Amino acid sequence: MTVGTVPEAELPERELIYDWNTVLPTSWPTRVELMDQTLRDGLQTATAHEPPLEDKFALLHRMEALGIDAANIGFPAAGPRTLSEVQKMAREIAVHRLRIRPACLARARREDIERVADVAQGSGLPVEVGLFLHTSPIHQYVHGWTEDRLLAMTEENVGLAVRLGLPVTFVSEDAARSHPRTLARVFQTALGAGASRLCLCDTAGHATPKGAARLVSFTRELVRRARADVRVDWYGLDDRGLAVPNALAALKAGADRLHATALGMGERVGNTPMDLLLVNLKLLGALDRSLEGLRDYCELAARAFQVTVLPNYPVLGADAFRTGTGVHAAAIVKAERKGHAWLADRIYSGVPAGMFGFRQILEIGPMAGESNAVYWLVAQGLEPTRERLDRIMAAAKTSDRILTDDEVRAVLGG
Amino acid sequence: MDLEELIYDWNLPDTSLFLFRHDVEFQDETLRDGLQCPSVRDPSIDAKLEILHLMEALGIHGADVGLPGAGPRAVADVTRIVQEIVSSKLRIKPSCAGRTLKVDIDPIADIAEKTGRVLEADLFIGSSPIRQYAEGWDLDRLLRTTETAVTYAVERGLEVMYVTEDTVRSHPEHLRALYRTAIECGAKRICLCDTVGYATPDGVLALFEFMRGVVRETGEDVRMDWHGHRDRGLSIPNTLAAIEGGADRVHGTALGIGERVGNTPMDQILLNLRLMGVIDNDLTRLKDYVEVVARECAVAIPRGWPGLGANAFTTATGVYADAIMRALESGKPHLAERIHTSVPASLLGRTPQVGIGPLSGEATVMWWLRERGLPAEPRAVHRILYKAKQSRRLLDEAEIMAEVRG
Repeated sequence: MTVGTVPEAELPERELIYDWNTVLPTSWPTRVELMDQTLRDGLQTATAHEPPLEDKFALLHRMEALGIDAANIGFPAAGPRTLSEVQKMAREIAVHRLRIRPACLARARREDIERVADVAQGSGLPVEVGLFLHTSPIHQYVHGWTEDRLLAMTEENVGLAVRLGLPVTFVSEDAARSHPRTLARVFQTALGAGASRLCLCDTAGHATPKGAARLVSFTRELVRRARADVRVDWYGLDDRGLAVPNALAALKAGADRLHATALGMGERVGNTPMDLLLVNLKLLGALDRSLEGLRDYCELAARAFQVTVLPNYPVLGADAFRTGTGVHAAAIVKAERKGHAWLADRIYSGVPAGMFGFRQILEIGPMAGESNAVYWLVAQGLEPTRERLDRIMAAAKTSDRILTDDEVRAVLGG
Repeated sequence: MDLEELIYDWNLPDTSLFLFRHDVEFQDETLRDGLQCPSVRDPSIDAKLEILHLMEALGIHGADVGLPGAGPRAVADVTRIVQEIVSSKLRIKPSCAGRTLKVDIDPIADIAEKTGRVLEADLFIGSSPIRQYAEGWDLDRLLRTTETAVTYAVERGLEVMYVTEDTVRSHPEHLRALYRTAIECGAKRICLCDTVGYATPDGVLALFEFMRGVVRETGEDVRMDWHGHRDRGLSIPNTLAAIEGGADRVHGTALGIGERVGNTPMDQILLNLRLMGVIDNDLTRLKDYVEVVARECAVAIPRGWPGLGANAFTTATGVYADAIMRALESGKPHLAERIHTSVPASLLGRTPQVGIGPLSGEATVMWWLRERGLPAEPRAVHRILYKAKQSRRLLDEAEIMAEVRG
């Protein structure tokens, strides 16, 4: 590779990054549907606060800005307050003519489904019902349900929801631990009763990417043989830390819609993080839209639910684009010296900060080299003299952590 | 009924993790790359030794204990850690990081001589075209640097692991040339390092497929490592892909601390491989390992951290508690901990926890009371539930007890 002062526009970007990620032939679908579960499963985060209604409205608008297709706005049967807030959110969507489509959760019970129909009637919008039933043997055993009972519940409740005019997504809870024989019978029953979507719900966070792909392929094949015009959804929890790769594996295997929540909030460890899902889809080339609104969406969700985004959270955490390490800083500084923001933003970062509304930050600490100090001084409008560099490096090398800006200024004598 | 009949496992059979000759080994980078995290505090030497002993207890095979080229304090700490491994007869194998430069290799070799312990030197070089362009390097220069450094390190008695940084964005022909040179000069191990956290599992598989070929061409018995980062949140699936692709050893850090948003979390590697039946390590000390690192490095354990976060086994949701109560009442606690999560709390020395909040139901309250040996008096249950439905968060213990008393 020859080195010279190439103008930014002529930077040989393709030659500078050999992309091993694209060596194996993979085709990502061009259209990915997304369902936001922040206002439903997000509320089940043990240490979160339920946001006030105005913040729930604001979140709907942020989802809309990100181009998210649908939002589950709650479980209306949870109680009168929830019902009232769900109704108001549905009206907010109707009044502002948002493109985002509302959905609600219901158990396979008449009273739950009727509450969702009330929400639909009150807003004048079609409200999708996510009608869930546990299909795994462990749940059948604990509840004492036979397969026949599951089939009867499916037929009766899907049928009721369809008669009430609701688009029905039949949700198989604990799908990743459900027997294929049970799934086949239950899904065929749901399709026969008029369900328009099947959702594979990995409630227990059990799936690995291979498991998720197998389950989606099986369901797709089932739908194909039934000649049904039905979509397939994937919903996964993060108990093993595999929610994002599982969602991507499900998509690759043919899922039409993926479910996720802001910052991965949700029951126990949480749900698939919508933000990291979007980042990965964008980097994989499966999403053709700006994600500059991602930061607003996450910051609002964190504030509204009173959860902390820790520094090590990918992309959105404070450390995502921050380094105090000498060799890393040196390379970033050299790239910037060549006048290449594009280069500086990628040289030590697999995720370009600028794509998501952030920038690279260099800090000074015990791992720092002179480049960190030079960068800091220049950013402050100070000449990087020998004396200043020596003072800063002496302080850095005896510190057990990154120095704050004030500490660096104090070392320089104000 | 036993669990095998009650859980149909769509993940299995997964034979992809057993395709290679050696069992996978673990290399702990907490005390080196972990400390490059901009938010961590460099722990005291006593704390580093405590962390080292916890790695040993978890069955971790190797530890990168520092970069002695960083300065005198690093030399002192690394020396002390290696002495501890010798004097306590630990099985964990020490290694040190360094650039492919004499100034970094010498301090490692000096520590090996002083302690009488053979050390592995993990010598890294930036190999990607983007690095070469920014640094003004060309391939010839990288090859000469590699040859000089690896040869010198081997002469000084070090076991060399040769590390290409930013491997996932490096040209295959450059990688072939660099690795062949390093192996010819005596490197016994090579490390494919995704320094910038760019890889996807497909990328890792493609890379290992290629590198297995390069190693085969040399005819040498060389081991392959994988070192990944969390920038895209894909470090665990990337590590699984590396094992599938033939990695002999995979790297991680406690809680994934490290440069930027960090490395592959060692705790999650162990947890996942245990759940997939690849290893049989006792993971009850995993909690101590992450707690000591959190305390000593001044980082928080995220509440939603798999297996080890405060919320990992907590539920306050009515429909969830209902099933758990049924299992508990029929005397099946081993079932109760498996109903809603694929990670059994007892595997990590923990127990499922119940909270009471706006989405709770009667079963939630009854479970909470049962946990504390309190009677489920219907009026008290009703009062607690009424209070919970008014709240916008979980009730705390005092709030619930006030309702129990009426």
